[in-house]
Amino acid sequence: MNASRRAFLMGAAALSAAVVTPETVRAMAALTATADWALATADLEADIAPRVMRQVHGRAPEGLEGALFRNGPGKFRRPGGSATHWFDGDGLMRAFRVRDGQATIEARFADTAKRRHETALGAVVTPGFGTVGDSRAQVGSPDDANAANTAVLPLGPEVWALWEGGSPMAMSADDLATRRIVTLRDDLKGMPFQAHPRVDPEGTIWNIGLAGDRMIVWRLNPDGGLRSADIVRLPRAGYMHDFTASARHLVVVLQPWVFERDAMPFMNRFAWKPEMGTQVMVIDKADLTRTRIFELPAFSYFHLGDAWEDASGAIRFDLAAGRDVTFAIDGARVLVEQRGTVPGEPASLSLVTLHADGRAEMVSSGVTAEFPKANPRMAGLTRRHTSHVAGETGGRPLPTGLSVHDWETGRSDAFDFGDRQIMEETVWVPKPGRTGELDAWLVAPSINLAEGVTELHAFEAGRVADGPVVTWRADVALPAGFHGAWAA
Amino acid sequence: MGIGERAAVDAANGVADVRGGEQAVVIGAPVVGAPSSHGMTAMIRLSMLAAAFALTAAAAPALADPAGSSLTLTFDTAAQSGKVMVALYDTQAAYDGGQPVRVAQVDVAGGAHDAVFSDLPAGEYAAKTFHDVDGDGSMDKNPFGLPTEPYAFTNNAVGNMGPASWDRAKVAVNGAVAQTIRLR
Repeated sequence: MNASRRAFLMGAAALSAAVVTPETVRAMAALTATADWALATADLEADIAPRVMRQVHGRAPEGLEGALFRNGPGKFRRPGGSATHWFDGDGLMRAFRVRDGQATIEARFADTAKRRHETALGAVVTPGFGTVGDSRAQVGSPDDANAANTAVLPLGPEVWALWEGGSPMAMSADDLATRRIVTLRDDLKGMPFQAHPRVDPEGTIWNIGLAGDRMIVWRLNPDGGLRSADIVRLPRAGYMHDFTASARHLVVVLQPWVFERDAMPFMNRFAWKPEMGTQVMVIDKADLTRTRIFELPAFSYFHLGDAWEDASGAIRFDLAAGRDVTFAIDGARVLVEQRGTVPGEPASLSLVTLHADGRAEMVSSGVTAEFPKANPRMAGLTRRHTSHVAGETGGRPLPTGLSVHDWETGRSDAFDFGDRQIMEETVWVPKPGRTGELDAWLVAPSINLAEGVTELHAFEAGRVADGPVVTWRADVALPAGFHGAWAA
Repeated sequence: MGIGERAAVDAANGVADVRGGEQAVVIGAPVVGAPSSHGMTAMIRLSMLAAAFALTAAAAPALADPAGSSLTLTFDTAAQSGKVMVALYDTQAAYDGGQPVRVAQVDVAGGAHDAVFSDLPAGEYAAKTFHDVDGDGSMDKNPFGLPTEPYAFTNNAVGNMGPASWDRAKVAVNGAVAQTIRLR
């Protein structure tokens, strides 16, 4: 603890001693009590070897076979110093494997330079998105700070752990052992590969990476081999976690959280300037020099849904739109502190239309939402349904259920578990041999706070309100993950 | 610049600090957002390195025993092509922004792996090294200005968002001292 912090706390203690009342004591107790949702950001102390999950509800649907890989921070705290932001925990790769009606769970930490160094020191010292770090850090290149903790890209025998400031980390799909840092081409070593690759209808994988106002556009073959890499200039340098794509275009959303100063931790580089509005840049996949800019009122975001073109030439996409970056800066810090009220308003599911004549508008569904996802069969194609987590409230931004929104009718098909469950992002698993947009299962884990364990659920995408068709329960709780993908 | 980008650009600039009485050729656009002193990439030219060799050789006096120490750096390289470029510094001031006291090239393609600095006065030294894998005479960079060829410092020291500091990289040289440096 540094001298100024110690002085502050001693001053605060002296002040509180002068004004303590029973109400104050109760309020202070509530503030200092560990939150009921603390399992979401607990530390896992060791890998979880594969074990069978117990079926506790319903029946496994016929034809649901494959693996759900998920990634998310699994450890934050060490005796000599801790990560202070949700985005900085050590990457924990999870696999839920469903076969013959049975589900297994396993989890293994990505073997990163950061984790090796901090394990040896017994302290988190590496600067991160929100964590300051200290002088013991060893960062000679971005991959020395790579937490490999945000998302996954399954590629046959491998699954890549994705971050956003560095390279993918290749892990074995079979046993989640870390294999290597991925360099897609020697002259592109260390170029950033973000957490939300988009797959187009032909199976080509698109992704981006950022440095200031320059963006690398990655194009990979379905097997993960590099097809092309190009640098595109952006109209502003800012923070961007996601991008989206239609069949023919890449869509880059430039919120007004713009580069202001060279500083660490990473989030301190940016300033929220709503007067700049939010810009959307559309890039022609066939010619990356052909770009168009659209202007929208200011909003913040982390996650976008797949985009589509309609007959009029308009491009549409949905997203979880926020008012500002309070959650990113403060909310994600409080989640790791595990006490008190979490700052930041929940986002709303909204639809952006970019017209061929240059006009743009965004309409809100009014529905609180995060992690918007669509049927991968529809990637880049005209669609109407979006799944999302639901139930977040101001002060407790942890989802308690999920929903499928229909943009044509404006209706939500929703199921809520109540606040004894923390719902995680859901993936769509298209039903084999079927073609309809809702011919799919929605598969997602949750943290059952009452039982203190992780569960895995499958829903019918067309009948979410009926509740899960099957629930399996583990004998261990994994901290909440961010993003996942299904591998059939 | 993202996390670690400035570290790598600084490290590259540090390693590329070998001068032979010529100005280092500075190329490339400043990386957006980086302070200008860290944002420029520097290019090593073989001719500059050769000139550095010539100057050093010409300047070396014939000394008696007070300069009887040596530092041998053995390089563990991933690639077996090209050359390892080494710049050796004898003070923190020189390491941080001045001239190397010795330089060396290790012909990895020709089977060599060691740089031997003999006849050194006993004292503290630190080296900045990089493996010019493709033999083009310069530290290759990716489009965002980060080195794509391996670089390293004595003690295999790693920097904290920059080149390894003198404190982390310095080696006490008294008598014959040897180290293995990883360039992978």
